[in-house]
Amino acid sequence: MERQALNGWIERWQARLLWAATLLVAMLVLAITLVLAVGATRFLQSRGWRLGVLLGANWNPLAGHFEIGLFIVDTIIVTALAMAMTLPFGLGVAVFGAYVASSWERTALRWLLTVLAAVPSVAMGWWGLAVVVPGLRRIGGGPGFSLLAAGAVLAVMLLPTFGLLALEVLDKVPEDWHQASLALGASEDQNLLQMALRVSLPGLKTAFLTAVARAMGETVAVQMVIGGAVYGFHGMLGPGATLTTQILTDMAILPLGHPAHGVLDLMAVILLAGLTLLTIWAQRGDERP
Amino acid sequence: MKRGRRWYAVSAGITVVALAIVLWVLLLLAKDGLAGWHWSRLTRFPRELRSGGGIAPELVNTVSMVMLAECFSAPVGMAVAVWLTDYAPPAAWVGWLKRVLIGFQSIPAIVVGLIVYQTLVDGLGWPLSVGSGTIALAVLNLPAVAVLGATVLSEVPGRLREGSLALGATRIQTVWRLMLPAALPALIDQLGYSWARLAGETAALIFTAGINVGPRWGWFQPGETLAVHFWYVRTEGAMPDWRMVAAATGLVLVTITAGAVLGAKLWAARILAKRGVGVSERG
Amino acid sequence: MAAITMERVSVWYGRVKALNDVSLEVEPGSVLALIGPSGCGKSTLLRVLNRLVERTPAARVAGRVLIDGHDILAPDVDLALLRRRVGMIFQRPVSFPFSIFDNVAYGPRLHGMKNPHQLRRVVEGSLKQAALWDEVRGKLRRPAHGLSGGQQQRLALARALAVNPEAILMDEPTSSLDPGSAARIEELVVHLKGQYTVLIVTHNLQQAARVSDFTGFLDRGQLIELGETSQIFTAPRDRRTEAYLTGQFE
Repeated sequence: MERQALNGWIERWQARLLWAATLLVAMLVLAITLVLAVGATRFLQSRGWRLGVLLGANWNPLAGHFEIGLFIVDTIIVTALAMAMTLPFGLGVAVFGAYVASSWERTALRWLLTVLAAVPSVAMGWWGLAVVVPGLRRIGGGPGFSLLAAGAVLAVMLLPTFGLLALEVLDKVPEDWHQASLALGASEDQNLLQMALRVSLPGLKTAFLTAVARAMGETVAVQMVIGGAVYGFHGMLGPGATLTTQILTDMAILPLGHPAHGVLDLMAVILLAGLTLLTIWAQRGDERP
Repeated sequence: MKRGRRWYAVSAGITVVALAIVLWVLLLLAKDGLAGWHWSRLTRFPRELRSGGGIAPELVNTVSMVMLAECFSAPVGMAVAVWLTDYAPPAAWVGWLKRVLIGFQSIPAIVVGLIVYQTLVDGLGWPLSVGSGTIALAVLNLPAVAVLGATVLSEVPGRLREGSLALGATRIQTVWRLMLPAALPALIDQLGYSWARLAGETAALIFTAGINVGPRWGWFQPGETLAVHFWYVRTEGAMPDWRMVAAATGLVLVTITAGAVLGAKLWAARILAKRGVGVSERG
Repeated sequence: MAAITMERVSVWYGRVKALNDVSLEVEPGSVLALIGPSGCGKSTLLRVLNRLVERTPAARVAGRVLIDGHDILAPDVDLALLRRRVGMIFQRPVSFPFSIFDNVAYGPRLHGMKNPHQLRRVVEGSLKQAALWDEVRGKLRRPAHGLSGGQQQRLALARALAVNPEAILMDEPTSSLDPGSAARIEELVVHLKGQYTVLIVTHNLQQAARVSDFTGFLDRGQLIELGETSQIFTAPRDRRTEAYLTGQFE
């Protein structure tokens, strides 16, 4: 039959197109990795493969010193501060939305959180400049631009996303399990702490690590409030610079063709390596229902 | 307070505080943005050193760049999603590809900006422009569409799929007539969110689309967006009314992102309602 | 063993009346089977007795329920204590994604038992009572989800017994199991008779006839007839009961 032949032809070509799209995306991912790897390798080679580049804190482009250890440490500190602040709030919102709220409150909360999760990070940075930085200056003294300010801004930025993800996880605990737990004489608190949160742990871990990845990768919201200090560590209330903010700053200072431009690739590679570890960790043992 | 429900009360308190803090951001932005508001801002060009500048080109750039980026990345990403859910062989490397895509979903935007800067702007000699920025947005969006699309498609019940195949439909017919329509509301929901995410993107665009606007719109014209303008004016703006310009830009930007998310959600809810599924059941 | 008395109990879900003026008495240590068509209120009746019915939004209960003479619908009742005394087994076996040991120890731990030796004794005793010990001995640290459906239902029973209840509510405990597993649960019910007061909801009339001392027939929220099982099955007094038992219902 003509028609069947035509259908078969369409079927084959559509399958090929889908495969081509997948190949395109796979190549794109590979290309990104390669470009960064080549740039980073060249830079490390030009520095004679010295480990001090990663561990040291001497960053002085004019004098030819490119050690990025401080930015790695600041990235970790800012991320940790943000997660420590967002975790209790996000969990609270999730517990309320999944177990306490009435049906309409739950719907309203979900819609609100989705809208808030889509608020651009630059708006959070703007709020940080308007509220957090002056606030910290008044309370803690110093410039206000600080690791703590960056952490606080990130925490507010991540709260809706993490809250929503955690809410979905808690919502997936089957009603049967709640009833079985309560029927054994658990109070609502015991049911929450000893059953619901415990069985949700793998999912909550994934939600948490997703938020960590976003915190590590955020640029402008952090750049606006962190102060951009590249010389030495100044404490939580002092300014600093993370890997992402430093890439942004130095794209202007180290233009292409500059011998040290590759240090930007190196910073990107380190960020991606960190994110890869997070992804692997998030996916491990996540097979449970 | 009922006994044994202490943590429920605590969670309610936390929710109120959390929402208050996040809404503080929006309310402050609305207050400052409306303080010096004039509708002419939407139609004028920005001014570098004088008051009263507008954001018309930024508005056009934002909408056009996000639309173009979606036009490229949404179909290609969905094609990957369909391939991954329905065509992929059960091979180990497919699992790896999925994992890599999930990882790239959280690639920092600044890294995408860096790559596009190095390849297009340096490699091919493109200017900081609408074109470079659009490509950066598309690259940023691709893994997200593929991963989220695959998640949505895999939630279409398997029995529907098997039923369709058992009735003699080909695989691609099943995809077009069954899978995509069944997943449509969830896909629209995701599209709205990805639209908002791209419109609010800053880091990937500063060194690809640039921080200037051209006299007219064009692929190789400077392509500053609302988000970049918001960032630039707030951190480096030299016009006397930079406070008002920044807040007004931010307010317009947040309105656009919230509008995209809410619009998509309402659209999806309407489709579900027509199919006889309550809004609350799909959240 | 607990004596259960219900006096004119009604339950509404919003405007829908799910249970209509039900009064009944259950003797301590006996097994009462509740039968009736789907949606007749059997499950609701069970859920009144441990007040799980209150989890359903807009549920309202009227009437009096006495367990050993205490009104359990009173506002100041300690729900944790009530539910400890009245255990429940569900239609689909519920095991938490913990180890077998942690599943059984869940209840005792809720009520403050921490001593590991004591916990081991309770877990072992409960598993023996639920006739699961021989199959899981030495595998207590393995995840409960690895067990078969029938084993998981017996695990649920062991978990309920571990808090030392006086009455056990069973909501169609065998309807999701294969015939062999169902038969083992039935044996257990017969075995529990005399030590616990058991209320069992079932769609399986033969099962009701085999395991129970008394049988109640519910229809549209009303208790049509309640009597000794032999009497209900051989000489029902109400025409509706007879119609249901002979399969001519509706």
